[in-house]
Amino acid sequence: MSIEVRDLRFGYGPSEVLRGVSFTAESGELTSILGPNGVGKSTLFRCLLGLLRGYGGSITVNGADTRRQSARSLARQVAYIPQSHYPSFNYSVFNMVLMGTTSQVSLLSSPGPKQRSAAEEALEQVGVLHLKDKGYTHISGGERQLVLIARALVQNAPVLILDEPTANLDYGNQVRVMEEMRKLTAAGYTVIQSTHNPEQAFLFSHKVVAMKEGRVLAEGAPSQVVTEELMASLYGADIRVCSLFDDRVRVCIPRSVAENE
Amino acid sequence: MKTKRILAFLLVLGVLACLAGCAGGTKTTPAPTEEAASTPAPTEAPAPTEEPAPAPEEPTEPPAEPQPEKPDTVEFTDDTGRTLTLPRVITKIAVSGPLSQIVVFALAPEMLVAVSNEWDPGAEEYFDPAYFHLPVLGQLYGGKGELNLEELLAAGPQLVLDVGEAKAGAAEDLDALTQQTGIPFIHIDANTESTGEAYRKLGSLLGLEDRAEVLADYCEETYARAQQIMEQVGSGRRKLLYLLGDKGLNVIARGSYHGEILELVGENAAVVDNPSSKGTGNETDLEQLLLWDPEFIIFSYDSVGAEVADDPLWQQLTAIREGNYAIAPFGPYNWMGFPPSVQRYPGILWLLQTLYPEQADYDLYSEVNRFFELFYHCTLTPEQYEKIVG
Amino acid sequence: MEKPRRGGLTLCVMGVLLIVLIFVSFLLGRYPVSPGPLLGVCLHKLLRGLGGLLAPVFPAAGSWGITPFWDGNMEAVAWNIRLPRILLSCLVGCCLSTAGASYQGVFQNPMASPDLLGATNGAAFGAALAILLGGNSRIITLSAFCFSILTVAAAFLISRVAGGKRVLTLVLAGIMVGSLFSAGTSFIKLVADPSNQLPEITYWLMGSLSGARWNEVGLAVIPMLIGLLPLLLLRWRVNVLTLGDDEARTMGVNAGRVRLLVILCATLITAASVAVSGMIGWVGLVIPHLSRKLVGNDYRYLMPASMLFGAAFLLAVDDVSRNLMALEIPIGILTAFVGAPFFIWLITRKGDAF
Repeated sequence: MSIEVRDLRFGYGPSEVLRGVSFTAESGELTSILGPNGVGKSTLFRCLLGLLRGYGGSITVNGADTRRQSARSLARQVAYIPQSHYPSFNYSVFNMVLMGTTSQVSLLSSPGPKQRSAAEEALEQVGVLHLKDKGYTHISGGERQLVLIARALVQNAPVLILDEPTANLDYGNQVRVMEEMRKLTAAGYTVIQSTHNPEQAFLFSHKVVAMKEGRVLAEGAPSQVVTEELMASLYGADIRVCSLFDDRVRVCIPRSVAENE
Repeated sequence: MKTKRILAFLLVLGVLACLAGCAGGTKTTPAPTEEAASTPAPTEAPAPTEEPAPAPEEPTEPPAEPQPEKPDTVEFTDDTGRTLTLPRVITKIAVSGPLSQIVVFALAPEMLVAVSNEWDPGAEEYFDPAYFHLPVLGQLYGGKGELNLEELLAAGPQLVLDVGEAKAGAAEDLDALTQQTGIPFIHIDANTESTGEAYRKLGSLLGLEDRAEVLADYCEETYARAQQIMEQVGSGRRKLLYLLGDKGLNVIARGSYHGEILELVGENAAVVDNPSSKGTGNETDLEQLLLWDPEFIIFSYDSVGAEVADDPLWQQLTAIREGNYAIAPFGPYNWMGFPPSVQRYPGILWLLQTLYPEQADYDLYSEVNRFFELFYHCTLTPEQYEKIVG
Repeated sequence: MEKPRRGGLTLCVMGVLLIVLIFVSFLLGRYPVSPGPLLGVCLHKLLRGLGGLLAPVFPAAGSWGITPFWDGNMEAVAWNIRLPRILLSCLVGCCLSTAGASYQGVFQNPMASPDLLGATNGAAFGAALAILLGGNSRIITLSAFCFSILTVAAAFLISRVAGGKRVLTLVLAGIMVGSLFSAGTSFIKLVADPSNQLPEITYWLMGSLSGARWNEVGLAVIPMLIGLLPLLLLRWRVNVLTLGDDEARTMGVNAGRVRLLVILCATLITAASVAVSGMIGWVGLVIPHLSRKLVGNDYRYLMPASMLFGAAFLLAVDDVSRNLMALEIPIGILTAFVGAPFFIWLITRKGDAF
């Protein structure tokens, strides 16, 4: 299972946000879309999720063009994990996860026992089954993110799209969420996340796509993308990239700080 | 979830059955009050004969009872064109609203089992307490209203009278109410010119022909008298304004529904583009009043009539400067008539005498007293008269 | 906070309470009738009705019925006055409350109520216009119904043309069209004859179930059921829709289409209710909120709870309106008396109100 984006173009009115974005994401891999705020990562995601349809170019999931698919059939292929948020109405954690099964039940009915047990399994899988009967707005941000991951899992879609999943989380929760994503990748999901943190992209991804001004600046293995040259160009700042632990970790430091030592 | 669906389905079935039951049942309901008053069973056709016969052919229809010529009911066609079966002897009636109330009260106060609206507190000193303290049932507005139907049934009138201007949809609404309650709802048309006729119709309906004739005569005589006096006045018709509101700057314009009475007794100076049909009339200002330059001004009882004498602004009007103005009498209701009702007759008499004392040389007190005796069933003492006309 | 297991039980209790309340209401009234004749009349009528339906295949059914042991007045009270009124108040309460709950869901706004898109303003205009032109009750009802639908349709079309954020423009368009129609109503009140039309319009605007009749029930029940049933079935989709359009779409819900469907149904039942009852405020806002307190936000329970609770509430209020005084108190006034203080309590409350 792979997702392929080819020459994607999109503009709101006259201003073009995406100017020919192409990349692929393979199953069993975590692909990070890396770039500063405002380079079109969110627009790219909205296109991937079928929320924006008037784009140029093409998006294919396993060879099938997604543009003409109904919301329901697209939901069976691509699941979305938004940043943890507060909905208008408070639902129990269990119901929140159960909503992921909606594409499997017909328009006029509610989820049945099959969907219910799937929701419990998903909660167990991400390790928050004990929160089942809690109100979704009453749990911590990290827990909410895990619940949303569980919700995406019951959707049974092979492609998972995460919008800056670790933003707004404390360090411990960031690690928990990233571990979870790594497990999912190992289980064969195609995982795409957006991030503006190059260190994290390097540490966890199989592939990094660096975006700048609506274009792909570089695409490839983390070691090829998270380099001094590219990061400096990407963020428009003088950055040193230090390699640690046999290049298993790369750290970005402002050059001014690094030189002072 | 499934149970809800079944419930919904059952609800539909239930309603259908109810409607079917209703369709079969409504035909039997008119004129049940009579049976309620007398003995229920024996007056009807005997039960055993009706049972086997009608069942096979027309089952949804009520059994066609062989109606013997009952001497105690009559057919009556009201002013909406509906023919209703009524008891021949009527002793208990109810009314649908304030206008019906005041018209019917004049003719048959002792038959009223209830009123629709509370009497004006000001009427307490004039009315017989027995009438003043009748139970209040509420008013009808079209097909619905404050009129509590159960309370109406409990009060036990034989019919409900709706007197006033005919409304396009009245027939169907009144039919529905008749069918629902089993009490005939009857409409009688009435406006200033046809009040006399309305009284005659009511009189024949209620078996009070003589009394109705007296009232009808009074209405028609007063109206004719007004026309006669105006003929004598001839070209001397005075240019009038009727002002109301707390600043005196609302006017009843020519051509408006409420202006009828003014046009009868003079020339309404207030000519506006859009005469308002509201009781509060059209808004205006002093400049416009100066332009109209009326010969005589009538102020509503609750307006500024008492203060204009000392007001330099108002003094600019010739009519005010020369003292050609008056305050309309009030008691127990506004004599200029809002809503327009029998109260207008003493109003016409007062206006004529105020405007044309030479031609209208009757004794207003005795005229008004006669009106009170006829329509309100009480005598007006000279003190009360003074207070009203003042 | 959320106890899904208890939801089913709560619904059962509410259903039982509603049935009890219906029986109690049937016994209440200004005209004294003892339970015997009341039930006798109903049984008789139902047998007659059923017999009438069955007669073509089963002739003996035509003569089904009970020999009357009651007089005509009792029959009129039980069958022509009390029963249709009880049914109508239940239906109207159920519809207004369900419409409110639905609007709150699809607009993701806990403060939405059935008049959000101008449905009630439109109905008021339609009724006032019909009264001005001298229509009878049925024409007033039909005109109110049509104008109610028309208002929402206009708001919807305008929002389509305007573009932008759909939900926001829709709500704004609803407010605009609604205020346009309420200006129209004011104008009609200005030109209406004050001696008979104006009081009738004013009375209509206060909302009342007085004069409820069988044919009114029959007229209203069809659009009501057509609207209520889909809302009941769509309730899981409404759950998903409360998370916002984007999230709903990514979970396979065509947000625009489901919202359109829900608005259509909610408008239909609101229009049908307002057309027969006049303006009855607050039920659509207050009852869904009370239901949320009882069964939580999950529409699988909230929707039926709103239906049952709405029916019971309006029935109880209508009992007060027809029994408290000799003359009818317009029910819209009573619901406002109950609703406004509740609303104040709701917005001043701290913590997890929603």
